[in-house]
Amino acid sequence: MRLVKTDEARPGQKVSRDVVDLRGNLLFKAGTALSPALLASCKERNISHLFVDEESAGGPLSPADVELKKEAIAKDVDRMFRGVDSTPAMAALREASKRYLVGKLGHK
Amino acid sequence: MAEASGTVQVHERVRKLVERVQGLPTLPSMLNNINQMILNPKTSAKEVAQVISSDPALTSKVLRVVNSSFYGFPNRITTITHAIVILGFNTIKSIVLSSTIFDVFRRTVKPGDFDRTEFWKHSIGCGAAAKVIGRRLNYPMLEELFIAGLLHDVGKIVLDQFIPDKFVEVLNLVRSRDILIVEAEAQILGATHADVGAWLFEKWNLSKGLVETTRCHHNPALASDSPKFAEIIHVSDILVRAIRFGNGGDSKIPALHEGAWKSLGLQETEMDDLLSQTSQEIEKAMIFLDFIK
Repeated sequence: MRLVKTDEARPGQKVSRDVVDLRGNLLFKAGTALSPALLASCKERNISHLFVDEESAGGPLSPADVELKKEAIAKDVDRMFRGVDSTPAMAALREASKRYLVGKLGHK
Repeated sequence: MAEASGTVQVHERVRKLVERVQGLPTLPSMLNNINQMILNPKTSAKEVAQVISSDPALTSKVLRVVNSSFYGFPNRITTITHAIVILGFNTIKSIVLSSTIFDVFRRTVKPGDFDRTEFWKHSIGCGAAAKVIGRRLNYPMLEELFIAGLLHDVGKIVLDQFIPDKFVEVLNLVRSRDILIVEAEAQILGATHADVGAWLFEKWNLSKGLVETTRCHHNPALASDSPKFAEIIHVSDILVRAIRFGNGGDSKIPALHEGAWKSLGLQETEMDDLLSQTSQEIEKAMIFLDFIK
């Protein structure tokens, strides 16, 4: 399950939770594939985000793409932690952060 | 002595900063009424429920939260009285408080550089991480921890909403220098979102623990009333940054305060578990994002 902005959701993606309006009225159920009409309806009702199934959130990545993404994650996490990772706890968190983010990649 | 004088200077800077804030909202009187009622041991669940039920929108929000997977009750709770009996006064008060604050700070100006949805996601993530840590430490007040995490950065919303021009300068400095937002605020404003949030909560007569935790979440060593509370929120803020959930306005990570980390007794070998449990807890807590709709 992934939270995406309604603007970025694409037709064909399946919602992984029931979608309700501001008053709690059910608009459509979990498992429904988004159509252009449903997306327009969500936007009209100011629903800013939707939970979509990971499987439908995008096609599988090629092994080369996965490697590229892993490298990008490692580089960006290193940037984020630069200057504050000299303690054992922060060094451990930096590496755990990389493992977590790379792990999420595998679910996409 | 030097520390006391430093505190006075920060208070003075915050005072000057907030003097520029025109029309800062007050907390709705309903919340004060509920606080007063809860302090009275003779107050019944039905009496508090009557006050909450007088606001249909609030009632609907509270019922949606209590029936969500965040609490995970098998049977549907259909009335506020039932919710209070099952969850207790403090939990219901926390839900009402968070819903009210989301309402008070509903965006009234055109969207700017600060993404409120990402901000609230970071805040929800911090609350979720606080619950995870609290559970590991057998901390008794998980609900209060969640709310403290949810509200720890509210000062940023005050700055964004009430002195937007200055806050844009802060965000520009964050981007150009790739620094923490708290560092940019200190440079440009002379005070930080932590000072402003604490000042606001003090003005609203919220609990001392919440005020102190908000003020000290970047430096928990300064907390004296509820140091454990502040330490947990400090660590939670950093954990949720490490999983990149939401964004509080910068893309760096602050250093874990070594004293806080040691004081909580957490181990480096627990990091993977802490991150994955936080992620799971966030899924349950996402119902709170509905409050901004």
